[in-house]
Amino acid sequence: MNSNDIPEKKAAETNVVPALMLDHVSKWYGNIVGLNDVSIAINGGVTGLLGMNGAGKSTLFKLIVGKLKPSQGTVRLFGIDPWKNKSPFSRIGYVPEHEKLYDWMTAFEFVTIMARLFGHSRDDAEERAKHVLTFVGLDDVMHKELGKYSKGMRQRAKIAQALVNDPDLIILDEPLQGCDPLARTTIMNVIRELGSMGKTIVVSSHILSEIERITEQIVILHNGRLLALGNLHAIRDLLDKHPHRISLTTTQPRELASKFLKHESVYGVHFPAENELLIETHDLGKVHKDMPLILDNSGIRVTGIENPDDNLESILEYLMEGR
Amino acid sequence: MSDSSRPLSKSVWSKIDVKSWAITEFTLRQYQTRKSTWAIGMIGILLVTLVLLFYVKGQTSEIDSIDQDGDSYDWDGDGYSIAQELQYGTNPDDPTDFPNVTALPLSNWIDEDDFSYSMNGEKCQRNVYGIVSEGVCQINVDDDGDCERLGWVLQNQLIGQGGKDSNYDNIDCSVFISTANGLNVIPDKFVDEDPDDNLYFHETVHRAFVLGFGKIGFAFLMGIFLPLFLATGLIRDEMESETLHYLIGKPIARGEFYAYRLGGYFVMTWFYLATLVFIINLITGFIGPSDSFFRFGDIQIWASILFATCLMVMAYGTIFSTFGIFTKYGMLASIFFGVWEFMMAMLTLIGTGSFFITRMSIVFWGMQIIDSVSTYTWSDSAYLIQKGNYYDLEGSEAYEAFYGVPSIGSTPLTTLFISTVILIGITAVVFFIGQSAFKRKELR
Repeated sequence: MNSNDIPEKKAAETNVVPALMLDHVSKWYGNIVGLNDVSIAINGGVTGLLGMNGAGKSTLFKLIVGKLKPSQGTVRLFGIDPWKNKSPFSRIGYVPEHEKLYDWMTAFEFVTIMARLFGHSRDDAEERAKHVLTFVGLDDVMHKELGKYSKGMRQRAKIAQALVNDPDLIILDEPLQGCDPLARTTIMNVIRELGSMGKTIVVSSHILSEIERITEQIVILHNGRLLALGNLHAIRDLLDKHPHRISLTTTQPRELASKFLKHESVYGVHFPAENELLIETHDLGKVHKDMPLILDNSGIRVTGIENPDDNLESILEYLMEGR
Repeated sequence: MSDSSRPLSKSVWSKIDVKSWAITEFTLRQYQTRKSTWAIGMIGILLVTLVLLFYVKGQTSEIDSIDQDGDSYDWDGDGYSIAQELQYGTNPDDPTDFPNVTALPLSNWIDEDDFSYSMNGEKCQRNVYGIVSEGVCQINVDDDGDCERLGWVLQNQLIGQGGKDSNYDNIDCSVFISTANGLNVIPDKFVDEDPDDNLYFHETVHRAFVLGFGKIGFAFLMGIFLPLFLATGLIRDEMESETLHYLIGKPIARGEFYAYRLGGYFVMTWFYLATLVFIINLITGFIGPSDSFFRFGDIQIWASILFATCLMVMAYGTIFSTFGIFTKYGMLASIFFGVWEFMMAMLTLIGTGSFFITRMSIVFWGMQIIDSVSTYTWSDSAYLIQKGNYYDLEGSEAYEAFYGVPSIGSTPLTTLFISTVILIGITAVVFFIGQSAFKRKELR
């Protein structure tokens, strides 16, 4: 991912037209700010777009796919303004956030008609539909009506229609929302595989762990502003040095607390429930590294470990502190 | 030929062609799956069936014939009709004076001189008060011969000035037809004076049905309601359900997409209308009064009704779908527009074009198309209505209510052309506005 305050200049310097470029883009809905002065350039790989609900993720995507016109700044898809010119759409696949589909159609019919809208002949479109539906794992049920699909299957059908023209840029707006664990895993595998095929993929979510399983490249939006962009692990390393909590489920919380209090990075413990120990630390990574030895030496049985601060809210909180 | 060697224009056209048919086909399938489509279609068929039942009842019923010239009566009670007594020169008021032949049934002298008008006649001139006018004359049209036999006492009393040539066309017992200032049919006295009531009734009711059904049932009601339910949501429904993103997130201009969506709507409604018109034409063609087994002459009238309705459905559909693009209250706007059109339809029927404001509507131009073709096909309409009103024949009022003389062009063909161009022009302008709005519409 390339990022710069002036993406066009950067792109010109490298002589590469990025798949996606926003230059000081803002979008207002009346008095409400949907996106505020965002500049990014993305070319290649899988990029996670993180942000809480209302952060501006969907607005950003709608600007990219030409559904909205920027109030300020420029949006370019492969160097072309998508609001004025629809030609870049032959190179992109878009999976919208909403769940609405044509329930009266089968997945095969749906994807076939989408392929025909790209200008493929009926035969070619049907071939492509079969191929992508197999790719997303719907080959057994492709002739079933979409209305009878589960949430996960519907998401995969939406992804299939986005892939049917073999796009260079794929935009997925909250593709894992509402899916069961099995469907999530399948969709994540599909996204990873597409990434490995050299496609440029932008996938949005408000759940950190989901994005973490797909990619390391992230863009964080908050209240319509670009809060951070870069490598997720680098951000997480910074976060690890920040006060952090670890929750352990055990029948002997007090005995276990005494063991952890001896650790140099632990500065406090709490007992929020009868069988729960909450450890406070300045160095999450080090505590996690030493934890197996501490538990082994104590001989105390632990049935659950959670990091309640290892989520997007904590990252946002941390990033916002620096502002 | 390989793809790479294919000319660019052919390649681009092939792609557009594929996309256009894909969207049209998709739109058609969407209609097919919607309950509202079937509901409006079935309502249309039910209404058509209901009205057809009334038509069939009218065509199969008989009305009492009236002796318009009063010559079937036996005034003196000698068993001979006035007509027969006058024919043989006996006195119809004297029971002891009667013809020395077998008395014919009195009913022979009812409806015995029907209208004989048609434009197939000889060129002739009429001279009244020194003014000469050109026209067409029909001769040998005095079916009962009472004009020809002017020697009859009663006729001599009644004919008066002009004798056998009361229309002054220099031909005795003829019908003079002038088209100089509209259609003007003037028969000599005792020509066409006792028309066939039943024939007149069935013919005029048939024509009234065709025109009424064509103008109100098809052009107006179908023309308004089909687009109201099928076109208003053409783009709006997709916007509301957020499924539009799948369709326009493709390398296809929004204006083009809108045109193909309308294309799907046109195919659907035109096919539906054509089917209905074909069936009704068949039914009325076989049941309606005719010398032949089928009323072939009606085909062009029904064709004009179909043509006008298709143009109207096209114009209304484009207007309503454009309302849908502009606002989510597109249906409401369409209903208001429909009310306006209803008022204009009524004014058009009442005034047959004399109200200028009616020209500000779609329905006026649609009706002009039907009127122009019906005036051309049924060129005796004005005469039938004129004579029917004179003799107070049943059916004349109904026919007069739906009959209209085109008020725009100088000839039916000119009217047809002007009306068609205007309806297509309105559609094109509204389509341009609609697609411009759609292109600028943000999809939130």
